Amino acid sequence: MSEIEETKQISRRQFLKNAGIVVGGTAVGSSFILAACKGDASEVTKTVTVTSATATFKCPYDGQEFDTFAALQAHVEEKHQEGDAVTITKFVSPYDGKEFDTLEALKAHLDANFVSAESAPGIVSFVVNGKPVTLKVEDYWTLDFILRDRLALYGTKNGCGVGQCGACTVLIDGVPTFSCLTLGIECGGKTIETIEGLSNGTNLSPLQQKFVDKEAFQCGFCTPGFIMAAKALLAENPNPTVDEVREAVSGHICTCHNFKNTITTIAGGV
Amino acid sequence: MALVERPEMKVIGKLENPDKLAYHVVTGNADFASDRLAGRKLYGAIKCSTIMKGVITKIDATKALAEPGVKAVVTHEDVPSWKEGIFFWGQPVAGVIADDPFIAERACNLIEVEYEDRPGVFDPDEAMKSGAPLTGIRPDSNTNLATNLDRGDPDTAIANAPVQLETTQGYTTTYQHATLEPHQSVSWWVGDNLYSWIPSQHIHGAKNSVVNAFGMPANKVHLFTHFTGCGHGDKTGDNTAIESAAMSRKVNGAPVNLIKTRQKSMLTHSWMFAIKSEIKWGATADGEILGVDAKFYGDGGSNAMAPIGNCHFGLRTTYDIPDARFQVTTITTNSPARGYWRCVNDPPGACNYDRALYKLAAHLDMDPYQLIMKNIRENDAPDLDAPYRVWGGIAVKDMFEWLHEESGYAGKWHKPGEGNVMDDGRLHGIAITGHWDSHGSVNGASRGGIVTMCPDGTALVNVGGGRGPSGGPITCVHIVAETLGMKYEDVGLGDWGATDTTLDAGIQAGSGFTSGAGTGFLNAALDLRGKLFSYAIQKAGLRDIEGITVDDLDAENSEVFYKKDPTKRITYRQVMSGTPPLAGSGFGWASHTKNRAVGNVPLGEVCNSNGNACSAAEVAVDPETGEVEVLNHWNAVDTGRTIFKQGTIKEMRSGSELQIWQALYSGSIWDKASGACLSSNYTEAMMPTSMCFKGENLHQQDFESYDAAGPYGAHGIGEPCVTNYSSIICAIFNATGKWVEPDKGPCTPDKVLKALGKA
Amino acid sequence: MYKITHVDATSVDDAVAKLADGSAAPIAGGTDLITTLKGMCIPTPPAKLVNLKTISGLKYIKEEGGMLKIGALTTLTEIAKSSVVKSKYTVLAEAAKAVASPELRNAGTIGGNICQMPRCPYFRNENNAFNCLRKDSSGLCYALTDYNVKHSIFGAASGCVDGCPSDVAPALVALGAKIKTSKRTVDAADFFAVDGLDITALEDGEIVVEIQVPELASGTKSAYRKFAFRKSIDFPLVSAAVVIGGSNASIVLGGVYPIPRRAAAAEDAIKGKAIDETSAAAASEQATKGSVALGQNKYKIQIAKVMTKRAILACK
Repeated sequence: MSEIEETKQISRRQFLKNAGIVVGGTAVGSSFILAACKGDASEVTKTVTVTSATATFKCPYDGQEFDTFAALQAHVEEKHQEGDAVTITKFVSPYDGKEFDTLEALKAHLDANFVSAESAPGIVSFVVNGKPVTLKVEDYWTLDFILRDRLALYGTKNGCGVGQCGACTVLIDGVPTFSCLTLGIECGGKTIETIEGLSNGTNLSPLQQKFVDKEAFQCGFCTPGFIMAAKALLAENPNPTVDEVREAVSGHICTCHNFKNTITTIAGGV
Repeated sequence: MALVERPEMKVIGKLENPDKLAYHVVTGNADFASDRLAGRKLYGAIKCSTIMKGVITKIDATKALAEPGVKAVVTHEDVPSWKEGIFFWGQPVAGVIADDPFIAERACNLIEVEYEDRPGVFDPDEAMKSGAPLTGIRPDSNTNLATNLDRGDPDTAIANAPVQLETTQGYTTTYQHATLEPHQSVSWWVGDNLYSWIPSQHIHGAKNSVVNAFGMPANKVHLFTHFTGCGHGDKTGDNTAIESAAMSRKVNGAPVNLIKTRQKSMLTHSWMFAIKSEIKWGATADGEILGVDAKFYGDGGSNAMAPIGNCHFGLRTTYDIPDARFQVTTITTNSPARGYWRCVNDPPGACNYDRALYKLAAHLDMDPYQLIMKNIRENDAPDLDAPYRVWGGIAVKDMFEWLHEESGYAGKWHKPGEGNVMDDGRLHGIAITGHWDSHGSVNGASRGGIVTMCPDGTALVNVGGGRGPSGGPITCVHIVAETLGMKYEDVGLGDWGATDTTLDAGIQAGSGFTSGAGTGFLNAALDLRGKLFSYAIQKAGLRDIEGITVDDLDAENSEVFYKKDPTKRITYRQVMSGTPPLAGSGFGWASHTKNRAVGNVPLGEVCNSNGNACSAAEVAVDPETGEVEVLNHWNAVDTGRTIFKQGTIKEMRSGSELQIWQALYSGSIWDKASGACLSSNYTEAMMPTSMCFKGENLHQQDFESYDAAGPYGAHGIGEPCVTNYSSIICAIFNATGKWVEPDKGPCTPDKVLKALGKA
Repeated sequence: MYKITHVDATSVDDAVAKLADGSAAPIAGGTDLITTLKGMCIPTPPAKLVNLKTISGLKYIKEEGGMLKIGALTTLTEIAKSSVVKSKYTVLAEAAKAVASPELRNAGTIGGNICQMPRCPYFRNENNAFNCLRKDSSGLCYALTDYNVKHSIFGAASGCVDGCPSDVAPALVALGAKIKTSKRTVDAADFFAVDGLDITALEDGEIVVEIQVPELASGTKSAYRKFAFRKSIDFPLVSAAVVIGGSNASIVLGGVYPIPRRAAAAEDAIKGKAIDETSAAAASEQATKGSVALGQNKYKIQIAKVMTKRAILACK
């Protein structure tokens, strides 16, 4: 069997994982250990899990390998600042090591020369606060984890993880949605807005400014969720009554119990 | 509302002063414990016990370690705060460190734990019975008489009284604090130095816990906190720092973010205590209380030191009862540990004695408000018990009178269950309750503050505490700005929440922060002020004044001026020009003893910085469904002196909401057979939502009784705001003429229907 | 979270094929499924999720052929807002609006809502702490002898005493709706059944594609009244879905039995009568005929009568 025929049997997922493709995000899936893809099929299908200090830790940005996690961490902190989180570096073909600047170019190359690339499993592209990102994600990751722990957008909170508190609310295509119940892999092509996207970097949005002026928060943990729900409400109903606001935020919990203040602040719009 | 004429403050108490951290909150930049190190950390999860009492006999982590993405497993052998003996269903028994939190949680279920079951006891009444199995939490008993105080001869006084009444009150509600931010932390080691970010109401206290747990030198433990997602007393401990530190140590110091799920956070952290009572009254027919014998019983769960002993406090100090007995028995049970919820004692304690008081009023066919006012201790009368302190808080009686007036009580009150049907068929009820509170005087520990002066003439406060709901560090900013005579906008937060570079600001609980850290920063600012003035007299604009001394100076609006001719003034920027770096430090404490004079405030015999509060509630009970709607709720709080006005208003308002929470909503459900908690999520725990009450029906008023003890006469205000949910419970009695048996839960419709005989 | 893989379905046939072997689960809004995957409360989790949202043509509300037809992927928000549903099939709009919270209604679909799993706190306890008889036929029911405040007042169905968690389900049964699946079309009354983890009679690989509500006779009014301890987010402890028109009355209770429970005696008592306080009260007394409370839920008998009465009065 030719090399190409042999490799056809192996799932796309394995190749992408083991080839150390870096497609943005600070760490790629559960891949502190990434063995380079070799021609031998049996080696490629293995995924090695490390529990001891003898395994290697590979930098997801530039591929350098280190003997200890501490060394990798020091390297990342020195060379790749947190702002690199959303930088796409390169797309590497697992078959022949060729590098491409875009996912489309890689897919075209794979289609032309190797297996069909209708969709690259485990890779998703969407827009966050106006910025396009492409990430490799695990199928079971929820969007709140991706936003916080891969894109370093910590403003979205996790208060319960099961849709009972509203702290994780983001806007997906303008619709207020619980990110803790949204699978990241299903967000392809979506436009996502988080609390970080509201100000233009210099000035607060009028809604945020109103929250500041009215001191509409106590500890602040529920606040991003409330503000995102308020943003969606005001887009549809710019001058809501207190009753309309109460209903719009009826899925949001505030354990400091600052409801009255928050609700009267949103009422009347900005 | 100021009850006494006091000098006008320039910064303190001003409504227009904004929260300095508002920008962080509304932009999502407020950094809570886990908001860091994306992509550069591992994740921890814990496994919890599924028996209520016994011993771990075997832990097999083979399958968990074989799961892809798992780095290590920890047990009680690695985590100093974990035990091999099991004392409640839900106790932590093992933990996993993995590449992502989903793997970590899943792998916990792959750890096989074997237990040897031992007989335990879940129910507090069962635990008190002779012959009950020992819970094992205290060595030789399930109970402890925490308070046993006799005043005079209560037995004789009651026996001889014209009217005697024995009352029993069932257990008040119990629930987990369920702060919106689940318990979590990030820890990492560099050599033998530990670094941890945690949510915290007492960062220096947390550090002490970590130091003791690991037996480490204190200078190797570096703890940090900034924003805490709600505490309610449940974030006063190490808040998982010990667990995440142990996990990080297991993976050679790599950063580990232990994030407890909502369920596991609720199982392994503090719950509110349920308290019941037997209260015997002796009184005259016209309502003079001659004697009381009050016995309280509180479930401390698996906390041997559950701080229930003071739950009688308000009964003891609010009413003039010459002969009295107060006993508090703390019970241990094989259920999660009980601890502070916004209070050590008062919400459930008050809900016990206020029910008893209302029963006495009904028995005497008397308006409860009249009964209260007939027996209430005068504002400045000393305590009837040693050491005969004057509790201060001259506002309790005033607050009762204000509530009576503001609520229209006189025109609304009716006898319980009589003449109370509204147009829509619901039953109307109204009640007022309140008491002297035990807060604001949380122990005599020294709390400290450091204030630094910047070259541009602005100041920074370095607060050894974090930001929870009430914005504690902002209170310190107010005090410093006032004391230094600076504009509010010229004082900011410097280093805060870091144990390495701050003094212990104390616990943000028990209303102790204002008195403790507040006084600490007051003294730090006085220290700095002296130094600034000594440089000011050397600066152009002042140095040419003949014979000028530091005592000739005062400051306002960030300017230093010569008192005899205020046109002679220079800015603080000018003072700092050419001046070496300046800082002031000071200590303060919240205590029962006379404190130092502050500014223009004279020292007096009034010597306490307790917060106090009273509340009134008006309800409508639907006799068909048992639903209770709060038509109006008034919260009157004696703040002493209101320092951070915005924060205070929010606390009082949320206090009303939190009283509704306690009375009508949040509770817990259990499988009694196994001791399993079935409500470790917001839905089963019934956390109230925006639709459960109307904010426009909530009213609040701060009273400034201005005691000398606290900084600028301030008390703490956190706990008093929430302590009178008995107002709602008693209003339901007024509406229906029936007492709803709480059965360790809130007054949900099913219980109201049962009281009405419809279920 | 269970380890799952995820695949998009391109059509109903494709979804059915991918679900055929029983090791996969369909995901629509995911608002119930993901909570069970995170809570890990079921003994045999799905290995794979088949995404139905990538199937086009399953989101619509239209009147056609004497029926109101709703695509299975239509969200609860869309149904609650729809003017045709609000005006002509009010009970369904009110039921959809009563579900959970706005964000959950934005994601949740009508197909998913009627296929959700039980909410009994024993069933839902994380990490499968209680492997009850819904999950394992050799298991037992813990609620019978311990906590049962939220449970059935009409006894057990296949040994289970949970209360039906779906708001939409009793509304559909009251409307005489039909559920069209990838395999067949069944009456809503026959669609709901206690079958292991499910509250429906769906077989492995079978998915809901459409809800069909027969056009109501002119002058028919309908209403949904829900009772829960909290005023949002909560599942129904007791609910009443009522459809009254001409000489017909349909009264179906939710939350009082593992699946929607028809109150036939109450229907007989009100049909053809003028609606007023007296007739509504008399009929609602019959709504709990045959009820038997468990240790902690006797209040539900009173509540069921009150919700029925209020729903009937709303149909005046």
